[in-house]
Amino acid sequence: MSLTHEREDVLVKTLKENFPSDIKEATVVRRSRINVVVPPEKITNIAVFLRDKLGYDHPSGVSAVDYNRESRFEIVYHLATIKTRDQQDIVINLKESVPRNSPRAVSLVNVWPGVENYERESMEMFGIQFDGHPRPEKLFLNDNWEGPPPMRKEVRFPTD
Amino acid sequence: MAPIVGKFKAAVNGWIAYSAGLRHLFHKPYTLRFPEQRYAVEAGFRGRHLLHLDRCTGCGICAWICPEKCITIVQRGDRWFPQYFYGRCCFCHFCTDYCPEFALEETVEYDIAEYTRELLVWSPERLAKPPAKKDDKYVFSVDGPRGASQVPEQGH
Amino acid sequence: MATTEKSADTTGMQAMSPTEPGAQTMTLSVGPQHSGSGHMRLIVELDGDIIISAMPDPGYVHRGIEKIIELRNIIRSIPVIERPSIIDASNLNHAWVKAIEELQGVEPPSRGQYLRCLINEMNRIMSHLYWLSIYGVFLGHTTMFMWPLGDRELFIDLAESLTGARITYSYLVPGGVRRDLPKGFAEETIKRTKYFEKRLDEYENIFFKNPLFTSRAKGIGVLTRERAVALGSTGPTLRGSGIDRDLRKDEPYAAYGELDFKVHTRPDGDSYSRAMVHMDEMRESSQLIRQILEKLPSGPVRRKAPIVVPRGEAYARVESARGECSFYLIGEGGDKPYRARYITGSYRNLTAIPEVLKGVRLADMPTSWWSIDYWPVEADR
Repeated sequence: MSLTHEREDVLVKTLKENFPSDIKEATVVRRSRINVVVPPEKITNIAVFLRDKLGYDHPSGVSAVDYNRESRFEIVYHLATIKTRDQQDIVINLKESVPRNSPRAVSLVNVWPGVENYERESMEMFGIQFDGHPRPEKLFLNDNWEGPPPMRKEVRFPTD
Repeated sequence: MAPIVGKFKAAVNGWIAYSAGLRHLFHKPYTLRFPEQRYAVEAGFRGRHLLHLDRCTGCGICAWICPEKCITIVQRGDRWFPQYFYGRCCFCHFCTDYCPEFALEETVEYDIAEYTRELLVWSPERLAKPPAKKDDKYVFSVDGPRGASQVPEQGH
Repeated sequence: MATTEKSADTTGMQAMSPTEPGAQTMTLSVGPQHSGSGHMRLIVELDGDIIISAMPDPGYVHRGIEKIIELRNIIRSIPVIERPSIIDASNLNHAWVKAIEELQGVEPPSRGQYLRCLINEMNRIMSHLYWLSIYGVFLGHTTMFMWPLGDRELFIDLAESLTGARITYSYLVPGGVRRDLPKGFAEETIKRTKYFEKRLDEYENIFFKNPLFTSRAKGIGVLTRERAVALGSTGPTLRGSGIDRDLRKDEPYAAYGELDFKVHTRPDGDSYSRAMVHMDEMRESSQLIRQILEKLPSGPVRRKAPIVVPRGEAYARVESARGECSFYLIGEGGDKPYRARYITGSYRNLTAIPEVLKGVRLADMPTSWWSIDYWPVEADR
C-alpha cells in the first residue's frame, strides 16, 4: 500500500467544492482516514452526497463522545465504501457537535439503515435525542432504568 | 428426470452422511476422569503464582497492574509482600511480567479451589511454597489409534 | 412497519400491526431462556407459521465495557476487552493494541507481527468451530455438536503451550506479544492442521452435504447484496451475500500483507452460503497457519511501549471471526483513554437479523439467524 494520500486529498477537495460554506473542516488525518466536521443542521445533505456521489454506502458505526469541558457531545459517523473498489481501506469520520444541555440531532436512518442500533445506543447512553428515529427505545439498558445516561462523564460507578 | 436424479443424489449424500457417523460408532469416548486421570500442562502454564520472598522489594507494581485489583501489599516486619485473592484473579500474569525483580513466577498448579472464600486469600508465605507434585500423565495427541485423543505421556 | 408506543410498552410486545384488517398475528417472545435463542431475546410476530417480523432485544449480558475501559489503564483493560467474545479473544485484543500503537507511533517487530497473525488465525478457527457446534445442536444434529468442540481441543492445546492459557490469552500487548514460540511448537502445529483438514472433510460428509441440512438451509434466510451493504453487515454475513470484503486484504495489518490467502465469498446470500463461507474460512486459516510458521522471521517479539495514551484520536479495525471489530480511541495524555468506542462484528450484524428472518417459517428460525454468527455477548459488550 502506498504511503501517500492522493485519493484522500481528492475526496476532501470534492467535498469542499460541493459544500463550500457548509463544511466546517475536512482534513486528511493520515493515510486512509478522513475527518469531516459539519454543523448538525447540514448533515443530512452531506450524508446523502457521501452515499450517492462518493459511494460511501457501508456504515461502520456511530460513536458519541462527551466533551464535557467544552460543553458538547460529538457524534461521529464512521463510513466505509463497498462500491468504490480502490478505496476499500478509507474510513470517513463524519462529525457533528450538539450542545450538552440540549442535545438534539437528526437521525440518519433514512440515509444508512444500518445506523439504527448505534443511534439507539447513543440515545440511552448519553441522552442525545435523534429526531426521526423509528424506534427510540432502550437497546441495552433495562427497560426500567431510571438513572442518568451512564456514559456521561459525571456518572461515576464505585469500581476500581 | 431431473427430480429423480435429485432424489438419487440426496439418497447418496444421505448414505455418505450416515456412514461417516457409523465409522465412529464403536469407538470409546476419550474423557479423562479427573482427578484420577489428570491432564499434563507444560511449564509456563499460567496457574497460581509462586513468590520468591528474597527477591520481592514490596514496590507494589504487581498490585498497580493487576486488572482485577486482587493484590494487596501486606507488611511482614519491616518488609512488604503481596497477598493474592484468587477469587477474582483471572490468571493473566501481568503481575509476573511487570515485576521488576522477577520475584513472581507461573506454576502449573491450577486446582486451587476451596470451600470458603476466605481460604482463597493466599498470604505471602503460602504463595512462597513450591507447587505440590501431582501425577499428571495424559497429554493431547493426534497420533492416537483413531486420531485425536488424550494418551498417556511417554514414560508413564 | 411496526409502530410502538413509547410510554407504556416495557416489553416491546404491544402494538405490532397485523398484515391486513381482520387478520390476527401472534407475538412470541423467544426469550433468553430459550435454548434456540442464545442470551438475547427475539420478539417474533407470527402469521400462522410464517414470521412477519422479528425484533431482537439485546442487552441481557450488557456489562458496560466502554465505561470500564475509561476507568482502567491500557494494560489493565486488556482482559476486559477480550471478554465480550472470549472464544475469539486475540482478534479483539488486536484491535485494541492496534489503536494504542497508532496513537503512540510504536511498530512491533516483524516476528511479533507474525505471531499475532498466528494466534489470530487459530482464534478464527476456534470461533468458527464453536459456531459450527452450536449450529449443529440448533438443528438437532448432536454429533455436529460434539465433533467440532472436540477438534477445537487441538487448537486450545496449542494455544496453551504458546500463551499459557487455554482460552483467555491476553497475549497481545502494545509493542508486540508477550511470549515466543516454545520448542516443538511448529512441528506439532503442522501435524495438527493437516489432521484438522481431514476432519473438515468428514464434517462436509456428515453435515454440509447431508440432505437433512441442505434442504433446511438452501434458500432460507436470504440477505440480498444491497441490503447487506446498507445495513452495515460485516464478516461472513457480508461475504455470504457475494461481497468481497475482508480487512486482511483491503487494509492489511500485522503480517497479512506478506501472506498469501484467498477471500471466500458465496453468491446466494442464504443460510447455506453463510455456513459454507465459515467452512471455507476454516480451511484457509488452517493453511495460513502453516504458511505463517514457514515464513516466521527471527528477532525480538516485543518492543518497549509506554503505558500512556497520547493526545489524539485513532480509528483502528481488524477482521475478527464475526466481522470487523473496531476501536475509536480518543486520548488526552494520561494512562487511561478519554473515550474508547468499541464496535464488534456481532453488533454490526444485529441489523441483519430482522432482515434475514422476514418470511421464514418459525422452525427455520434457528437455521437462519445462527448462520449470521451473532454472538450476543459480543454485541452487548
